[in-house]
Amino acid sequence: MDKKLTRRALLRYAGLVTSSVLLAACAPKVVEVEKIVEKEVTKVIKEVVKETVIVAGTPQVVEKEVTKIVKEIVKEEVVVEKGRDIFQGDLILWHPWGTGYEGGAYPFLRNSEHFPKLYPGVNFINMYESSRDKYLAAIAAGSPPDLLLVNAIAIPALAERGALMCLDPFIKRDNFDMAQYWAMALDQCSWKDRTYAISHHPDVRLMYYDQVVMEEVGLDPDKEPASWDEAYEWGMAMSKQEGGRYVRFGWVPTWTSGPWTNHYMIANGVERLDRTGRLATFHTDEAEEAMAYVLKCTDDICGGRDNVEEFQEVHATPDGKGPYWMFPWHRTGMLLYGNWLYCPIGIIDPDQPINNGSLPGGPAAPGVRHVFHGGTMVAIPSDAKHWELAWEFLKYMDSQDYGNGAQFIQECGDDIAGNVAEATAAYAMDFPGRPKVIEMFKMAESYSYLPSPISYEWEDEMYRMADRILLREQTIPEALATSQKTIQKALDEFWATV
Amino acid sequence: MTQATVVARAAIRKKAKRRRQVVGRVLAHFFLTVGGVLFLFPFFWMISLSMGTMKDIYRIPPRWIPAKVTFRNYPEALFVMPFFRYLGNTLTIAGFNIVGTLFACTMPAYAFARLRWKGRNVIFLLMLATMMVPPQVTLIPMYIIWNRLGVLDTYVPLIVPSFFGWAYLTFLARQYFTTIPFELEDAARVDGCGSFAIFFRIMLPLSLPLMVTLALFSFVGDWNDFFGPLIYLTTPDKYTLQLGLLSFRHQYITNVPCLMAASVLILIPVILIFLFGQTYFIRSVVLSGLKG
Amino acid sequence: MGQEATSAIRAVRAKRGRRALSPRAQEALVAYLFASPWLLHLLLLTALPVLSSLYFSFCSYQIVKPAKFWGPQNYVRLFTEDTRFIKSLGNTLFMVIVGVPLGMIFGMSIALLMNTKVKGRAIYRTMYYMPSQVSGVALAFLWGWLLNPQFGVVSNILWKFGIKPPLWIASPKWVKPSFIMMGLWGVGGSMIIWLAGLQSIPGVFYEAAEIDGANRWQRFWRITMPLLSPTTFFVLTTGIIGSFKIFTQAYVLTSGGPADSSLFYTLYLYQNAFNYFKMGYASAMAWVLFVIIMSATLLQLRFARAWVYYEAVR
Repeated sequence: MDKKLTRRALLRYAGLVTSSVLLAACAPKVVEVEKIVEKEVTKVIKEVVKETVIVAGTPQVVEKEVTKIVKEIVKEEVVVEKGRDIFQGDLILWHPWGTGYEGGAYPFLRNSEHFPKLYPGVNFINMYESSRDKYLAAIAAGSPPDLLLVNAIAIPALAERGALMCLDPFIKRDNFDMAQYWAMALDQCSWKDRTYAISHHPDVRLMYYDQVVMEEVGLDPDKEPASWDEAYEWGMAMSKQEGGRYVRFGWVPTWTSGPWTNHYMIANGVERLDRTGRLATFHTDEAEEAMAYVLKCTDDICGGRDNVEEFQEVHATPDGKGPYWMFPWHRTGMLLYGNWLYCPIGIIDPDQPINNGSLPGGPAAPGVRHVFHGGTMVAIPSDAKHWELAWEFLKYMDSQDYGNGAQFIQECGDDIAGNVAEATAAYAMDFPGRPKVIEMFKMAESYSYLPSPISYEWEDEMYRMADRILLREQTIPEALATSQKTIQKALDEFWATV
Repeated sequence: MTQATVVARAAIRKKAKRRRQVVGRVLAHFFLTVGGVLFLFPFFWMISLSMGTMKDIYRIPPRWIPAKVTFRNYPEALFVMPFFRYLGNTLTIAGFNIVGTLFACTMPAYAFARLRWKGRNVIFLLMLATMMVPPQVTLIPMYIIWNRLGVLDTYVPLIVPSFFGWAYLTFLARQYFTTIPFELEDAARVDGCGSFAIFFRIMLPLSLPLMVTLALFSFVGDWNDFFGPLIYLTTPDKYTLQLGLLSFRHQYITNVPCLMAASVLILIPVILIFLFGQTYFIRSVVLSGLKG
Repeated sequence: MGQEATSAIRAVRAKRGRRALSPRAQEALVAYLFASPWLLHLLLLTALPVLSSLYFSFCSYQIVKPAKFWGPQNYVRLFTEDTRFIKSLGNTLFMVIVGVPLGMIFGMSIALLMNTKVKGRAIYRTMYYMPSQVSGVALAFLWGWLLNPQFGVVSNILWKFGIKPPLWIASPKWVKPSFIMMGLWGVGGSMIIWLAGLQSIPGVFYEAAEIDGANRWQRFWRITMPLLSPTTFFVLTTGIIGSFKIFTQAYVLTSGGPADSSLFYTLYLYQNAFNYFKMGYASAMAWVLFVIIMSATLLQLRFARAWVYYEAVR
């Protein structure tokens, strides 16, 4: 259920808000507020209608009285709240980033000091151990936080189920400039053309090229592969073996942040769902081609899936496996990964010569290059108590005082390289790859997830399909067919409950 | 057979027995040590990690002993996460829960083990049944209940349940009570003791190993529990130690040295309690006087 | 006839004292008093959530929207359409059938070793107990390390025997045995229970047996095992119940992979509940699991009479 304000309510509300801000500036006072909300109510009407019916087993035609049930959706105005201080009390934000001083978490640590300067009487509570089961339980119990930091993948799922407040009326009322955000940030934060969150920390998955390795094997360090075939060749060139064991992988296409099946299907021009969003359409020849390509790369460049896993295990770090800490040690030549890879780079080798770029399109869609976006954003749950104040905070996030305003985000400030321990603030503010990364943010159009209410099921199924293909438990057409059936079932089940 | 031969043979047997005992003991020590080292191996790694820096830890290939050994992580762990406040919180919760557990688990256990009453077997089965429902599906209704009672973000959801008992520990206590022979109880009943007196004056004192076990389980359960505090607490001031550990996981990277340092610190009280609480595991002297 | 009986009963009652209850009833009253914490637990803390989840299992409940009743659809779908359900059940059964006996043998052996008069016993016990105290996050790191093909102890031992170590949790075949190994590493927790049980066996029995000429093996089988059987029963029952609910390590380390080979039942349940917003379906899964575990437990209780020796239970 999203809440829209009627024009009359808007005017009344605007007047109230202005006067209350003025009053609040003087001293905390009680202000009356009416929140008028348009609710969609489903009215069920039973009609008795005369219908001609053929009696079974005979050629007789008879007139019968049949009860028809008609559902009508009617918009009703409902007054929700009355008589409450808007700009007093606890404003609660939930995020899952601990007490870190890196990434998007840092400004949150300062909110409890800075935000009350603007709104005296507000106690900003920063709850840094959010988790899915916790916030879902809170929403179910009817006492959610006022502000919730979620991943892009959660927006369609939560918005379609009515758990988030639509922000468009507020944006319109306060003339909040959404155009200052990157297109991809706006895409992530909306669902069905309605805005449900304000972007807080968008990110992209882009190509990283280890220029030292490229020079070593005789490739031009400033160039990018123009096609999948060229990427394959470069990968082959950059792989290195010593004594029968791999010490460097030229390219591991399966090492992406998120299920790799997504990225390569999209890059080969596959439409994952149809325009209505209710039909899974990804089992196509292009998809098979994409999967086959990745399988070929894994086998030829890396010696097979098991080899890749073993490589990861041998180079495992306390954080786990994967390329995150491997790239700065020159164990891979190219990598399609998130922009936050600059975090370990900043810690291990800040001067590492790196080129950034985008994934070339596959053979079936060669013209376009791809950068995949994802990110986090802050939303207001539908039943939030201090939703007016929450909106004020979302606007405040845009300000320079917050330190992570839209402009700052767009300049990849403060956080890309992380500020923990060794990495210096100077590096974080001005790391060498910044201009290229900003270009990639602008270019990012492809979703790294599936914008659909079943986004989580898609993610899980993609991981499974990836495993099945790499482990050769099924052939590629079989794997795609199985997954398409699963996704279609999930879609059907979901849309049947709406 | 002469007396001398008998004595000599006895002496030889005794020597052989002692030699067997010594060999047995040496073997036991050997296996225990080897096993112990295997078991403790990851802790060496944990301590090693806690004494390095981020750059050392993520070195490829990893090193056993970091290049720069530093103790900086320990004070950092103590202050990045407000260790002592969280320690106080955790001890408070654990303290209440031990009291609750000791009463609420032993009393029903006595009823299950020794008293005859209608519905005993059904209730016992129901108790076992509560262990069979996965907590994931009762989470939301429980959360809603606590919400309605207005006790979210307090310690009430973490403390009150222990005063009503835990199925696992009650079951354990019941099994233990069934090993205490009837004779003592019958003697006491003949003397005119009621069930309450029997319980408090006879069963409990004989159950010292059980009580210590219950207290230990309750304590470490609370010490290591992060799911309960995670779900029910929102104000950071109220967090417990395990939640504090979670705070070392940041957005992009985990501050592993500090996490390991904090983990080591958190382990220490448990180890000390276990090490020194073991004197109570020694066989209760009272029992051995029973059959006499 | 009725009048006579009634007056007879009244006479008897008058003799005993008006307020006195029969001994049976008195025992029952005392028992209810003793059991009251648990009875209250059932009524107040357990009934509502458990019955709610039963109700939800017949609903479509997307957590952030109210539950909508729709009959036994969840159960039907579970049994007719869901292959992951079967897979998760199979994975979990593997852990129960293999993991529980191994854990019991291991735990009992260690406890027996710890019970002997070895010098430094306290330190050994602590060494074996400590690993069970390491929790989720740190445990995940440490085990990633133990199983590392190049540096991990386990892999090194295999290399010494000329065996190439497998990929452990990255291999569909080895991921479950890896979890069993992790479980065995944490067996120190159950060691305490075994120790408490062992301690309750009076030493007098052993002394008497030794005098009668019983050797170590006989003493073990004829004294230790029978007198330990209540503890054994406890560990077996709770072990099976606990194994059916295995969750945390898979959740943290593998998310059910690779290719659902470590998808355990409660992990799949969790995914349905909190990832796919299908709490109704998850509740149905919970009740199916309940029926399975309850059946297993009832079976054990029935067989318990044959081998569990209760010194003193009425």
